[in-house]
Amino acid sequence: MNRENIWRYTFLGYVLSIIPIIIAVQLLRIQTDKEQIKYFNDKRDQFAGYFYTIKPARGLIYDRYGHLLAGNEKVYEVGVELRNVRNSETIAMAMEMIIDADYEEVLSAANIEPSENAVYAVLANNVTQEQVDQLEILNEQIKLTYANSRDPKAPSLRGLIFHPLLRRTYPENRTGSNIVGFVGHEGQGFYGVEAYYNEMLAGKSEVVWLSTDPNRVEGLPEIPAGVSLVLTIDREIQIAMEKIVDRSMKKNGAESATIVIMDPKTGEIMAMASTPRLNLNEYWRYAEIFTDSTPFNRAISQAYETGSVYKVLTLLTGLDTGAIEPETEFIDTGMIEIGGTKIYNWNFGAWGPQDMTGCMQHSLNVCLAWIGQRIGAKDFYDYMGRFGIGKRTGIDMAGEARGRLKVPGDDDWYEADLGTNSFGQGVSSTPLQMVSAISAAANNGKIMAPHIVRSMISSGHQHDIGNHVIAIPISAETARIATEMLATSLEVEASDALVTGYRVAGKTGTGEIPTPYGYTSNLTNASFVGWGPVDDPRFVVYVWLEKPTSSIWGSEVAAPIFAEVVEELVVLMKLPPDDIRQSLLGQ
Amino acid sequence: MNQFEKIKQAYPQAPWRSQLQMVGFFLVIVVLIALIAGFYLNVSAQAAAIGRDIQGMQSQVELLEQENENLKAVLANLSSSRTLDNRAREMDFKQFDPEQAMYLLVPGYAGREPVILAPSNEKPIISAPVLPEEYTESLFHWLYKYISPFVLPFFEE
Repeated sequence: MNRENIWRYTFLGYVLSIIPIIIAVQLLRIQTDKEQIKYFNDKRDQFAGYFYTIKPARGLIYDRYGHLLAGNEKVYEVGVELRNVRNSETIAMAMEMIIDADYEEVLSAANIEPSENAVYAVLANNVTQEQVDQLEILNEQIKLTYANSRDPKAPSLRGLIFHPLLRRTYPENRTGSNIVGFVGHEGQGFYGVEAYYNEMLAGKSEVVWLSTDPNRVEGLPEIPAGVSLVLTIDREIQIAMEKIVDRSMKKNGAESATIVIMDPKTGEIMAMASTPRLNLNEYWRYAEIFTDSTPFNRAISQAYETGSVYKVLTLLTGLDTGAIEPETEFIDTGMIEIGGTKIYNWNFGAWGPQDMTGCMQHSLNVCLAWIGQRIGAKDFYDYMGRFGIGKRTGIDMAGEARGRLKVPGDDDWYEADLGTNSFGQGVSSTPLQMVSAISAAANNGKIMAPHIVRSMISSGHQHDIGNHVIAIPISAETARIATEMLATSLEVEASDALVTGYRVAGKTGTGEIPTPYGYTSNLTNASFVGWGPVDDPRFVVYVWLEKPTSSIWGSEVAAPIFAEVVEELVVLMKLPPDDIRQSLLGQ
Repeated sequence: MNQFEKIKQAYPQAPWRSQLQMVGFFLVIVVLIALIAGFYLNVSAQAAAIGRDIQGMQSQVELLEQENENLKAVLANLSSSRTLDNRAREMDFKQFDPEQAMYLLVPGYAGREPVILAPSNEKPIISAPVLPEEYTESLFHWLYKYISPFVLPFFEE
């Protein structure tokens, strides 16, 4: 090796040593440069992972026999990855053709310039599986046709993506809609059970950070599914009642109609039908249907002056306090004055000597006001409180109204109110409050907590809610005597409420509608409350027609509907006629 | 010094021998590093592939859960009152006439029961036979059982 070569090799050695040193210095500089650190950290964070919301499926709602009333169906959100869009016009055309989306809206969304902040645009929501299948077929056809085309403007659905989601669905559409309620676009429950149990049904969502690095994959946390509910209602009875409600409303030219059926022994609501009803799969039409502050469910949300059905509570109180007995005689002169107010009968007539059954049979206001007077204000209002009048029943549905009962001590209570309240005027209640209160007569004096949810399914187990006594306002003996009196009064009157083969007890009600100038309206609320079979009550039925035009009288309008309800009900409950049932029990 | 001793002395001192040793040593290190790197790559590639599989399975689980929910809704639509009503009409079913009903008392049948969609949360009653003590007791307990009748009286008054 000559000297010249040694110099060259030495030079090369220095150069090769300096280059790694320069690289190392540069690396060190980048590693310690604050701006560079921030830039690369931001880049790392941008691509290292993403936040993901684990949302459990909303709990299901069943009727008591397991028919699904509210479930979840798969739909798609259709969107575009802006960076991948090749031909926005093809996308807009396909969306218009298959999904009926607005061409211009889709076009402008697909034409958004992609950037760090604009990556994805939503084109349509709630797209069905069939529509997505059609879009995919179209996409394949376009790909095949233009596979070899080099034209940059060739038709293409590139960039179009489908994201599956769960949407609330109601297989029974309108059936039980007033009870079930609905879930809005944001996943929030509105009205009925959907609102009352919203948090339980929805479950608890959890946001987790997921790494995009497959080496750092972690198991997703176990999120319990939303709680499913089994309701007390029977789908078949509910459907039958809704048919009767619709038919009766139309036939009688009423503004609305409501039927509530409760099992007095358990407090379970068997059916609750009201008008109007919403197709829950089209919940966005709510404002069209429920105009002028129409309640979603009149059975629990609309308090009104029930009229003479309220006399049942006065009768029960009178019997229980000992103020009257069934044989107590009252001579009806056609007028009574209480607290300076003169009270007359519904026909302004005098009915002469009557026993208490006669008072109920002819629905005599004067007699009932006299009973109220005999009971006395303190006992009367104590008993009304025990029956739950003026208080919410606590049913597990959203939007329950309280009603109004003025009591002594209130600024607007006058002595005359005792008289008018005794026959159902000046006191307002919801149909459910009335069913609950009067169920004491059908259940040996006990009022069971009215409820709509029978059991809950959570974490793979079914928990029954159970039945609870909420009040015992009267004795069993009082309940038995009053039931017998009210069954007899229907029979003697040959009421339209009577049902062949089944002995029932009940009372009609014709409530005048108060206006700012007093009871000046010609319109009424026609009601009927009844229960049966008398020897072993299995149901309490409440019927209410708001402002019927065929007749103003509850006995002519509501009583026949009660009979119709019971005729349907006993078949659906497989309840044999009294004589057959008694002979079967005797076997 | 014989010929063999000369070769023996010259061999380690040969420069090519030292260079070969160096090269060999370097190559061994390179091969070792390559082996470790290869092993590491293999393991991390497998872990990444499994990680990808897990990610895929997680989204598959989500899709299957959605599908499951969807099938429940499909089934509910097929057995909805409107569908059943239409089918009953198509099959020429007639409205039930209560007067033609015949009621029978079936001993032990309490009528239609509300649906049970999941087991109750009451603790299950264990029906398995109780194991004999021999299978469960410890050696100490076994000894105590036999010795205590003889020993305990000495400790009692």
